[in-house]
Amino acid sequence: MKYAVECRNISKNFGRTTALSDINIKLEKDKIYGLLGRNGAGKSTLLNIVTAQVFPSSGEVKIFGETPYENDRALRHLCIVKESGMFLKDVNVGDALDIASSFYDNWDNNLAERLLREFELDRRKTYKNLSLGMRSQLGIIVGLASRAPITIFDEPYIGLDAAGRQLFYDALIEDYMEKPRTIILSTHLIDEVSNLLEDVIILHKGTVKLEGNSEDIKNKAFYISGIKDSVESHVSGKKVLNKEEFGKTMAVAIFDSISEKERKAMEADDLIISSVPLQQLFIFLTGGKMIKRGDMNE
Amino acid sequence: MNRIKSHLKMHYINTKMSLIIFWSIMFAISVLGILIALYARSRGYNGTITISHMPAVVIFGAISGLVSYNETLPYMLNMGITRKNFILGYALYNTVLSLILSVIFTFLTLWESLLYNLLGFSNQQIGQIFTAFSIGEIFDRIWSCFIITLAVTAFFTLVGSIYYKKGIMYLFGIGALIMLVMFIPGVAAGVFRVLEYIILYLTGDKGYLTMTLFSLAFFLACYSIIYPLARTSQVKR
Repeated sequence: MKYAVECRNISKNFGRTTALSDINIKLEKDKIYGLLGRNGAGKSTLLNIVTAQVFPSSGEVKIFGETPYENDRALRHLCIVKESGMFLKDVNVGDALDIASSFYDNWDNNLAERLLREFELDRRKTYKNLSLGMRSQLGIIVGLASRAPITIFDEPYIGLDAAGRQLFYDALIEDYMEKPRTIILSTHLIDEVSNLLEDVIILHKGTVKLEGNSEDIKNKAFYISGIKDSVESHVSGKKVLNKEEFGKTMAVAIFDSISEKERKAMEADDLIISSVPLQQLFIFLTGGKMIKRGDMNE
Repeated sequence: MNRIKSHLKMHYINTKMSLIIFWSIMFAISVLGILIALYARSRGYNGTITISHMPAVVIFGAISGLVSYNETLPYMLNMGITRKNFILGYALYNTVLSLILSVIFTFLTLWESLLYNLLGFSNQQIGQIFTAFSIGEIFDRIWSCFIITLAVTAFFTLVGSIYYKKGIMYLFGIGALIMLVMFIPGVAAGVFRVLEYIILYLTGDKGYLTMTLFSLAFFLACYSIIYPLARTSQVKR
């Protein structure tokens, strides 16, 4: 099977700093992926390697089965929108779109014009005179209108307000339904995008901490709360992410499957089972101490 | 090929405003020069007033080569262009820019020469380069400006590419090395002979062919260093 993006054993060192370590991921065609990770997790480095802007220290990348380095055919499949901006500072919005239109084979000018109107972006303003939010809007317009088979948004909405972000999500999903393609969304705002994502990859300190279908992941992450002894006995042997005690009660976050029988047994013991939001799961996985499977006494 | 076309389009859009500003200033200076010349003559000054826009044109080409490389390489890589296509497009941009600068420079000088002649200044008084006002002379001027600007632009693109890839300290190191080399007996004299040759060429005392071949060889030599540097350049963090 030809994957849209395939990373094999990618590692990247900047001097003595290891930015990425042995990354192995396979991204399928026409899916929306979330690349999640804290600051410095290696998201931008990985995306720069995928787009052949940075060389890996070891490993290889394939774009639809071809290596992207100095490969015009492979690079034509890609469009990347970066948080740090991707435009020439003295060029105005109209010209920036004009330049972009000549680089992307599937460029949709009508979509670009429509988004320009929806974002109320002045096409005569030069890039250096745009606010942070406006720069993000321009990047979003280019990313969506490029209709590139692999479109990458690396923290695309820095400075955008909630309404602007919602406009982006709506436009993204609407366009994706019309023209499916592989979209990689690198972000911190996990709660906002969790419903958009089909698969998620969580990077932490340069390694893949978790990868899989977002629904499957959500279906494996639970809070179990109730009387302490009862909770402890039920979660014994499960992969515990976090635990909090409140007097005689306890709330435990687990990342493991719960069978129907186990669920009924928990309910019979008056335990409350609720799902862990993706953002909270992300925090547990990347923010704090990870408690190993069955290790409740740590 | 159409990627290189897109690349050139980007350069056109990116450079047009600075070109307009630059040439507006040049024309303003030209008008000011004429007014000063008229004023000087009205005050009885009969010496030579030398006017040349060539240094400004060459400096524009140099800055353009230096700044544009550093600004556009990461941008172009972001737009999905290969490094090879970037260098091909950039060499073409250098050439086209040098040609455009030379053509405008020549017509500015031609306009000035005509105006000074019309106002009664002799060529000897002004030190203008146009004497015959023939088509041949116009082409000669365009060509001489072009090959000098092309070589200078290529050289500063090389400086820009070394700066991008290796950083400022590396450039300082090269500068220090060149200064050391200049102390080797005969090297400084050789460099001055080359500079003398260029000046003699500009004043019309040396042949075009030698200078053209010299300029092209220099251009290719610069790009033979720029190319491997660009092929291994990465987008900075």
